[in-house]
Amino acid sequence: MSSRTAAASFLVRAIVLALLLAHRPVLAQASASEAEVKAAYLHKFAGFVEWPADRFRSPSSPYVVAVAGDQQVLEELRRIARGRLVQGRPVSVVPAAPGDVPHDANVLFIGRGAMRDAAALLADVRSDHVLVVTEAPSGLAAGATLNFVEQDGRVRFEASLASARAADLRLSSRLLGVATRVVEAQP
Amino acid sequence: MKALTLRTQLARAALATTLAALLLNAALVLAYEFGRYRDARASDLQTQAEILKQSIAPALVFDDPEAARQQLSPLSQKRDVRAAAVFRADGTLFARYVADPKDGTAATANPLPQPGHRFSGGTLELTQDILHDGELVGRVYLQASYDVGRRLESYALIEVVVITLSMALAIFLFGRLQKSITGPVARIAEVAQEVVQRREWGLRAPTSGSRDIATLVGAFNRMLQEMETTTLELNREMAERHRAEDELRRADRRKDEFLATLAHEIRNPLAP
Repeated sequence: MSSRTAAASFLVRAIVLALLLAHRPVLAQASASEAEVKAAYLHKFAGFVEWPADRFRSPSSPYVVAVAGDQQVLEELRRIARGRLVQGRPVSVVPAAPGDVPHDANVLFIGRGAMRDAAALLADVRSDHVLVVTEAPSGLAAGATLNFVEQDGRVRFEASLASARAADLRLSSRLLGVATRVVEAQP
Repeated sequence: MKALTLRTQLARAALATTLAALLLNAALVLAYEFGRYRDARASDLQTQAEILKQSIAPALVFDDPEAARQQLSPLSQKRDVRAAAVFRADGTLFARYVADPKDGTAATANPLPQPGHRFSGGTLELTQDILHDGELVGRVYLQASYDVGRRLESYALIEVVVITLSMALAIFLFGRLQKSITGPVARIAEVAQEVVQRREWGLRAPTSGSRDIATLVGAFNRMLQEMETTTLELNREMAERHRAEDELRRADRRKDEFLATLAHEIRNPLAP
């Protein structure tokens, strides 16, 4: 009788161990820093968006990514962008603040720290065909084209086609395929 | 063992030749089809993987296994695809599709870690790199059933039908064409038979057919001619000898009668 209990407890322990091992990749994924993941995504977004041709001086002109209100993402993005090309273009990363957004910016990330100034930042880039990315629940409503959300412990994003149209940007259907939510009209 | 007629021998030779040619042809077609089917299946699965790569790359880039699973699910329409999986660049499993959940292909590691394809038994496996902006972001693995046996079986069935029809046509055509070859020879045989049975030396075989047979007929007829002449000569000579013999016999008899009369007259002179 006692040997059967021992065998059962061993079995339970083996199953628990197996489950823990099976979950390891997921745990490793969740532990990756949020700033790292967001910076990596910001780096990749450019490859899935089409700007009007006259936004670039030449086919090798860089994508300019402006970052406001998140020093960690800015630094991480600089690290990732070093020596890598997206669609054949280098990526240049610059800081931004209200009233100080570079005119050749292609992407503007408004971090949580700059969300108070979102209206001013959006007004700055209104006519410049800029892909605005936020990380606030109200992001798309405020006029951003892409917005980071958290789902099941993973960083995901949602998209607004209306904002993309307003900025004269075309989002790839492949990008929309992995968005958690695609908003058709202005919310 | 009964000796075969020329007709049967010719038929055997012609039909054996035809059958051998047909069988060789069928074997070559089957071998070609085997290679072609292999290549076609591999390239088919490669195309499938190319399409998957295109649609799955964003899911890998933005770490969305659920989206990848959704991209894999239409594979259920392809009945020959048994399993598919997407692995991250570091080799860990990202998303998986299994046609039949009872199937044991639940491996968490890529069974074919390097890009390429391989055939093993009834299975075709394939791995392709997924690149995004020149960087390896993951690999797609596909496993499809590869039932070349059944494919070749249906081809072999078609070959059997084709060979049967071809042989039927060959027999029909041979039946028609062989008459011009075996007909004259058969007539020579008939004439020879008649000559032997009825000792009718005046018969002649009709001249027809190819040059060789015409030569044969000519020689046969000349031989008959010679036999006829010789036989007539012999008969005449025999008749002459018979007549001479009769004459001799008659003379012999007259001589006996004369001697008998002479002896009687000597013993009984002038008796009545």
